Amino acid sequence: MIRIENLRKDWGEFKINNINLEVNENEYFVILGPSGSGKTMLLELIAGIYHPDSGKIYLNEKDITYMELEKRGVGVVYQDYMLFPHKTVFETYHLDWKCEKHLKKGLNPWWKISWEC
Amino acid sequence: MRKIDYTTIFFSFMGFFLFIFILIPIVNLMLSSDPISIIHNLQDKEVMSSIFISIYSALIATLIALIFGVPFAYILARHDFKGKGFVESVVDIPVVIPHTVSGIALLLVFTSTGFLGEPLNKLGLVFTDAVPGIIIAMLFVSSSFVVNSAREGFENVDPRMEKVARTLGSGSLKTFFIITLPLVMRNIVVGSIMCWARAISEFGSIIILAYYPMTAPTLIYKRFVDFGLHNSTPVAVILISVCLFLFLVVRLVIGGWSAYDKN
Repeated sequence: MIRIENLRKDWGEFKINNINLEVNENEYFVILGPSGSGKTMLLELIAGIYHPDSGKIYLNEKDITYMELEKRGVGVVYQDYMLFPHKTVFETYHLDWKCEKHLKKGLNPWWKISWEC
Repeated sequence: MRKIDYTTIFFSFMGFFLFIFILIPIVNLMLSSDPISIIHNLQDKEVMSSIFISIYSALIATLIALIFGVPFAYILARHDFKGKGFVESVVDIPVVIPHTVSGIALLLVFTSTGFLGEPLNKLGLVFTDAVPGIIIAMLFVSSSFVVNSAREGFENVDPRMEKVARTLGSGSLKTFFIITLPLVMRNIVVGSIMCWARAISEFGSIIILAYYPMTAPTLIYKRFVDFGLHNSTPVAVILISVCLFLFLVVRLVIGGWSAYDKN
């Protein structure tokens, strides 16, 4: 569950202000708006790519507003995908910080795990 | 009938003149020295030692430039801060000032009574007329090639790509090493080659800071002054040949890195 309270981000001429919303489990939530209205910015704030100036973001009742983005467990797929040109799908999957635990649990044999793990 | 593109012909013609202007003196130099004197110089310990010192010192200078220059380039590419323009100008200063001036500036700082030279001298690190002095002079004049080339590479990698990697669970340092660095590897290698080449060719600041032990350009100059053109030419030919060979090897090696060149 995602809960956002009074979220504000000021970026020069571009700003989003006083955003409040709640997304429940198993709910499809669509954000609609004209170009430049702040849809991507809102998603980037939830993912942790940028930090808000004020307000709170909760994920499953846990405050993640200023949590490091690699620890949030929130992914983002951009319109232009942002795929890593030098990585396979397998290697991209194993960017996960839990990779080592994955390896230790024996979920994958070691020769299938990329060296980054 | 296919239309003649006069612009391409004109531009090619202009480019050809510059190409010939660069090529003629080098080819002429290679052909003007007789093979016997080249073989004689290849057996000369002083010549081989000077070429070794040039290559070795340039390599150390390039490694130092890489270790400090790549993180520096990343900061310049990713962050805006007050005085950034000034910092970028400082990086370029060694390229624009005369190299004898660089030599004097370095000598004042690294001499045994200098600001940095004195404490380092007490630790046993001597710069005047010593290999560390050659390395420092080379580093000073050539490090900007690594910084500028790497910075250009980092600027071409979309910062969102790093952020996406981090949302996938990769820490910031891990993201740098496995996502960003491979994508700018070609820029870094090209910058390193330019840095190394510039370091090998450095003369002006080296003769002021560390005339001895002699690097190849210093030896070529000394032989030219003491014995004339005939004696300096074979050493120049050997230096050019060794450098061309090493360049070709490096180019062949980085040719296989095209997998990292898709950004």
